Amino acid sequence: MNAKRIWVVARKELVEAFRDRRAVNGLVIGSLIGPVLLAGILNFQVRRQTATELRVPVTGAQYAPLLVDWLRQQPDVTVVDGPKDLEAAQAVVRGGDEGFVLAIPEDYGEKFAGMRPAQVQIVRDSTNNSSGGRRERLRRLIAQYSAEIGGLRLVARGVSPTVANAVPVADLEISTVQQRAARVLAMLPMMVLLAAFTTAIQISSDSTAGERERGALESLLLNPVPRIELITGKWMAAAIFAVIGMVATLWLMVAALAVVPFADTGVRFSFTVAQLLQWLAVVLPAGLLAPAIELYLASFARTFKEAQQYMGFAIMVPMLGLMGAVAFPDATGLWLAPVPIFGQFELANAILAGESPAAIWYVLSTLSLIACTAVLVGLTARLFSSEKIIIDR
Amino acid sequence: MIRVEAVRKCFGDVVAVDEVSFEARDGLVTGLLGPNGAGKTTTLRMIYGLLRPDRGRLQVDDAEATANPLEAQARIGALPEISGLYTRLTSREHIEYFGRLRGLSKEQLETNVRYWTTALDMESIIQRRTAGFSHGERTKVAMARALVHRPQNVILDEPTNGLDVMATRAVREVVRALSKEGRCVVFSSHVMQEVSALCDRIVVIAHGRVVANGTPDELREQTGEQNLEDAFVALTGEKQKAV
Repeated sequence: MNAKRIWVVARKELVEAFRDRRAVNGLVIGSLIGPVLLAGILNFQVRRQTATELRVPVTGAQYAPLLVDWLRQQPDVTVVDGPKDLEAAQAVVRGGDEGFVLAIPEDYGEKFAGMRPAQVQIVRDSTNNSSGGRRERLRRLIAQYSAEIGGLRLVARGVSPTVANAVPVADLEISTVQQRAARVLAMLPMMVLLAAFTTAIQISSDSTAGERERGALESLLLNPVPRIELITGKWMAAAIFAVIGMVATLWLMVAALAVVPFADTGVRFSFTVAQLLQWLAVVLPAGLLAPAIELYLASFARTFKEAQQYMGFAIMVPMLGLMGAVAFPDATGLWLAPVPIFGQFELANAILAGESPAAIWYVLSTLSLIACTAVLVGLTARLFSSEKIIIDR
Repeated sequence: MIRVEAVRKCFGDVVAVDEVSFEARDGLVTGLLGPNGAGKTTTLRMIYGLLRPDRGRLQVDDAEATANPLEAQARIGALPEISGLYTRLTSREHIEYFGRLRGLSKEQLETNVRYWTTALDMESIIQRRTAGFSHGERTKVAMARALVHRPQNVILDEPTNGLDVMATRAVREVVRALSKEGRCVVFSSHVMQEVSALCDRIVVIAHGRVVANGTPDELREQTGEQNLEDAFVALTGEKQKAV
């Protein structure tokens, strides 16, 4: 293999690709998918967190001053004046202006004083799901108020309130902040691995099927250069594209994590540059395999468009790896390390979760990926050595 | 020098080239004449190592094309019938790309690029990207790119197809100059006038076989026809298809 000639081919493909709007767009869009998705998800989480504010419109607040005062004292609860009567409250909820209204009947005070059940109503519309969570929280608050008052009444009669609390239930939250963070961070390897495949599609198809379609291939093959060198050069150009896409994706995602104000969500992202570089070293070899798969598939196509159709299959490869990782989250056997993409995904996740995988994992996963790449580049070169590539146009 | 000996090539059941033999000597322009589909392109592709013959021998100078296609390719500069360009590269970048692939030094490359720019009158287009080039301009770029290494053996597969008068003239002048320099030129065409105006020797191919081989005068003599076009029709036996 003549390294100088390989670089001559790679350089020509890169010059062409960077002048090709489609290829550059592919690189930019491919690099943006991950960061945009991540920013969207983070934004959603931040919003859900701040949505804990509970706003309670109350109709007939004057009939239950104690209850309303108690509600006002609860954290994150705002009580506002609701519609003037029950009918108006129903109209407001039906119209969707309010998710729900707390309605206190006129006889509340009388029943409360007489120690009879003083019912209040939550005016609601079950078809409106968006307020369901806040509605349930209000219901729990009122139940809590009811239990407190009931307890006080028991105490006044010399009975311990615990007697009335036969079976209490408590939630025990066991997920740690780091684990919740890991769920968001699991997007990093997924998106960076995906970028390896999406960013190199254009250059892979154009440098093979595209050249064949435009009739430029025959002239190229007349040069006394072994086919393996031509293909290696084309692969190298595509791999450079893929690696640029992966680094850009990671960089933008880290930037998104740094910019979005999500400290409240409990997700913390604190990585040193050294850790990120170690992480890149694990993931970047996927940028070698992705273009090799794409070049191989595109070499079966006679036209650029046909090649583009085959690229759907190329995208399936990381998807299969990622689906495998999702389907078997506990799979950590060493035999899985050499599975391309899957191995990289698992390693990358382990590093993000703060674990330190065994060195053999690094070696096996990277070697297997390089071997797969070499085989695919060799197979592509063989396709280019067949007479079909010239005759079938 | 290019020598083709009893070469045969089939695609499935179709015999594309059958026992074709001829020799193209240095300093001469050898015309490969035949109707469309006669087997000209297939024969040329075997010479420049893209297709392997089922039988027979192909020799380019001292290199055996069948056993050593890369060796043969190093001694040839060939312009295939369809030679698409890279629309996003300039003319100069096309020529330099092939020159570098052939391992020319920087100085050699510079000298040769200048040579072809002048020889093919490409001053005005050398720095331009080839998107939107006319057919004549594209042919010039493809030719300069194919011949960047100033090869001893030159193969041109229907280079004047569809060219206007000026571009055709430019190609003809290059062909004459090449042969005057002592190079071996093989020129395929289905156009009678072209071949008779340029070629020292003519090999007529029809249905994958060589039906005649000689100087234009010998062909006239052989067929008893005064007009070379009539001679061609008589040889190929294709009254309808012959041009």
